[in-house]
Amino acid sequence: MTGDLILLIVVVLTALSFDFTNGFHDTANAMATSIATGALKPKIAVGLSAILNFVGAFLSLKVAATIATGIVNSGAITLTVVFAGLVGGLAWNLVTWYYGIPSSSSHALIGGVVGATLLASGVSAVKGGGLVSHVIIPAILAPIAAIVVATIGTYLVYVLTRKVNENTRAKGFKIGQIGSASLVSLAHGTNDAQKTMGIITLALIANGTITQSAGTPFWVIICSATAIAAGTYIGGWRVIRTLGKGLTDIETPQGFAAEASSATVILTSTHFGFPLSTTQVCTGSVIGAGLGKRLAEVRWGVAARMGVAWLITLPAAALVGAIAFGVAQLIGGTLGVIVVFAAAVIFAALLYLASRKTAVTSKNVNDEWVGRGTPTQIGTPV
Amino acid sequence: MSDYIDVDALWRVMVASLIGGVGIAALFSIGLVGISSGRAVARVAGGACFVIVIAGVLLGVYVMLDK
Repeated sequence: MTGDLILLIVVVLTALSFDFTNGFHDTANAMATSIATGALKPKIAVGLSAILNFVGAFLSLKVAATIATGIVNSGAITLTVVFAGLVGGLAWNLVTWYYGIPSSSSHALIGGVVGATLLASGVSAVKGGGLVSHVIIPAILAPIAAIVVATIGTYLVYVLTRKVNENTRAKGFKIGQIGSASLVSLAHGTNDAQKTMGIITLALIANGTITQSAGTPFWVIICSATAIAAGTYIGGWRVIRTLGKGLTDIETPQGFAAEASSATVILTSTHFGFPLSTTQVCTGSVIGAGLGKRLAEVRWGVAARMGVAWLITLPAAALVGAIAFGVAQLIGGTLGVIVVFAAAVIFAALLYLASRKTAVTSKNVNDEWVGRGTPTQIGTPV
Repeated sequence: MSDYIDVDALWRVMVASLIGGVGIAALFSIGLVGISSGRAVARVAGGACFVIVIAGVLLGVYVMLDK
């Protein structure tokens, strides 16, 4: 087995691992409110979301073999840069999952690639304007747009159905919530699984395994769809708990309005070519659902914690991406990449073991939210 | 600012999101009011609201396929 082939295999494994973390990190986006309101049982919710993510991955196969387009010079992208960028994104996904913070996987990946590119090719290879227009401005606008839509939607839902029997209303909105959450899951599958397909396709082209015009091999599509679906089914319960219970206490009408807002903002932004982060939109929608209901409480401390995490996503992932690239280069060759990969696996294993001490699972995900801001402060003993 | 942001796409997203998101929430609510009413006319109107909501969902799926 040649060094190039080993490098390719490590990059593909890292990309699929990133895809997996993307799945379990983002389960909350679609299903947190349905789980919180009891519209779906936790295990059923993540199972449904996993199936829809898998199906979504096949819905649109216009896969672009690019990464961080418009943000770094395409000439600066090598297999090692892609690998280091993935490690940066992966590390940020795992850390934010551990602390139960919804955070954009796409922005983390971009941060990782930017960090690795800065070290590999210098400042001139990174387009500052691209960072502002592709990451920073959308990160500000996504939650604002979702908050506005969800606040008005929630207010109207309560006003219009004020005379409807409570049982009929709860039952009706539960059905609506399942439908709108399913749409968000499907949209997530069409967007996020294809990013991994694009990265693996890019690696295969760079290695000369396939030609530029060959298109994405079917095994890449199957593997990417399976990885994101498996991650979704595992369920990032810590993030689900924060989004479903931490920001505000959600009732079924609020859950429906939030999911309708998320689905609409995500799909319209996709349609008009102004892509917004699914995570930031869904978080904004949940805040809007809290604001739109009279006397509902939004826990601004939890929201502020998320805001801080979003602010440091790019620099934090960039730092890890740069360190990963630097270490791989320092050791040199394929061995350098293997050492960084092994370090990433050990880091993930240690974080997983640490998470078991304060486990959030399908059993306690809906426990009363206590404490100031972390999902592991469970109301009842774990 | 316009160098960094596609203002045209942005305002379209905002308007379409508002109409779509708020519209679907409102229509679904009116649909619930209609079908929980005892009157036949209200039930038919409520059913019509749900049909429009389903059409909105199908439009969403079309947007995903068309991407």
